[in-house]
Amino acid sequence: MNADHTKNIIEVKNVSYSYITGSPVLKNINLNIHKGDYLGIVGPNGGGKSTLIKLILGFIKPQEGTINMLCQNVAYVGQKATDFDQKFPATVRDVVSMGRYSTRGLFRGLSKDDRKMVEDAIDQVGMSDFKERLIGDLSGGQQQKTFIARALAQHPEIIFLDEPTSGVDQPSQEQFYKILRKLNSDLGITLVLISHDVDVITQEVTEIAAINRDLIFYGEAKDFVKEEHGIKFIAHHHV
Amino acid sequence: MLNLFQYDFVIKGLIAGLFIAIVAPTIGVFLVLRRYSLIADTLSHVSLAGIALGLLLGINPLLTAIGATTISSVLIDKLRLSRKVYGESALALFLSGSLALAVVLIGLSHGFNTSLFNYLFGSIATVTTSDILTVSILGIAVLAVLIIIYNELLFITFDEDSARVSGIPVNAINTIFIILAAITISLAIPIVGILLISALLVIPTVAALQYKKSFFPTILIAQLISAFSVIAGVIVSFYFNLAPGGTIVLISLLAFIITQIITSK
Repeated sequence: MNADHTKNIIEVKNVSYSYITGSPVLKNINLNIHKGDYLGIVGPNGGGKSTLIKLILGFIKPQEGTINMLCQNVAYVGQKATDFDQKFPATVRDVVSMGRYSTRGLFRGLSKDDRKMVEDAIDQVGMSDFKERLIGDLSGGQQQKTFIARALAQHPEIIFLDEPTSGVDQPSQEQFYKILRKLNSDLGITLVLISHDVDVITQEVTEIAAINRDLIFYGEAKDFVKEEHGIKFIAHHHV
Repeated sequence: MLNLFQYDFVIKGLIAGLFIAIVAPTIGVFLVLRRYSLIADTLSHVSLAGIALGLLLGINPLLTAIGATTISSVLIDKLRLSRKVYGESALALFLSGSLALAVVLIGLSHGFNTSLFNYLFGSIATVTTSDILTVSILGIAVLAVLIIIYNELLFITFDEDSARVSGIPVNAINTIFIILAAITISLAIPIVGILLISALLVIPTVAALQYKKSFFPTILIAQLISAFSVIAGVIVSFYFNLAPGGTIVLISLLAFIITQIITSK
């Protein structure tokens, strides 16, 4: 895939949002996600970054402004710890196969090609030895790799990851970020990573959007670290 | 010793029972994993109102029960999606509301009679040929639709948000599924009765989950436990002159306890 960083694949224009009671969670947000970006969305808890993702993914509708999705195939990896039932009766292969379900019509099982894509995705994240294991029997890091494989099996243009490393140990986190770098640079998949862990994220991603009700910063990650408000942001909101 | 297979009603009861035994836990696996077990209870109470209406109007109560549960299931789903009331509150509204309606309708038809008792606790002995037809046709229809939406439903059950983002029509699949659950619950009435239906959906599933297999084998184990409970329940209740609905549920509970012992080793 060719990464064309000038092509918008998601446009967020003048978006504001407030829940039924209280002041706005997001105020007049403008940002474009380009093809091939590796965007980190950072900000304090309650700063509105999860709300922004819910808006982009269409779970909620903005009260003001518009969001244009110019890409077709979107994958989502949610917060590991809260998103699934550890007793769920599914193997790694079962879970990764789900990535193929949206692309085929009803009444059709997975084709030979689909199955190959599933196997390839499992290989790419290094989970080949665990295909038949139940998802609940794996470590947090292995579970997270399985979810990445499910997203990959979908052959998406863009993957959204919401606090993907919560509950994952340090060595697994490093492996996890290594896989993400590879997906972005080798396969050209656009990545959007939400995290409260500003220190780690700024070293991994290429673009940063810092959100605390307003869009405080939006630009290249290296500029964020250099600029004064970036440092302030880290100092004030370090969790 | 009496040969139970020489009795027509036993054969009819077994045939209808086996259809339910296969369909109920298949729906039950998805209900349990989605934490929707309470929907089964709610819809079974709704079916009582449907049955009371059928008895009052002189229509086949099984059909009015299916109508009542199907309509209510769609309304419950809509109410839940609108987020105007909490999911559990929506269930409570329908559970108590339909029970109230049932009591009023029963009063109108001049009180309790034996057939109502049969619907409450199940009565394999009174399963008619037309019941068998309804149960088998609709049972197969439910399974067929479930096979069509199986993959999508599995994804939604595991991770609704990711399924939605990946482009699966989550709301439509959810509505279809809840209608299937409603039909299944109504079909189980002649076998175990309104008050014990949720047991047939939930107990075999919970037992099968203890074996820690992947998804499809879990469904097969649940069907096996449920089929065993129905067959053993009919036989035991026949020879010992027990209430079949209750016996079936007690045997499935026994199967659950045995499963616990086997799997904890």
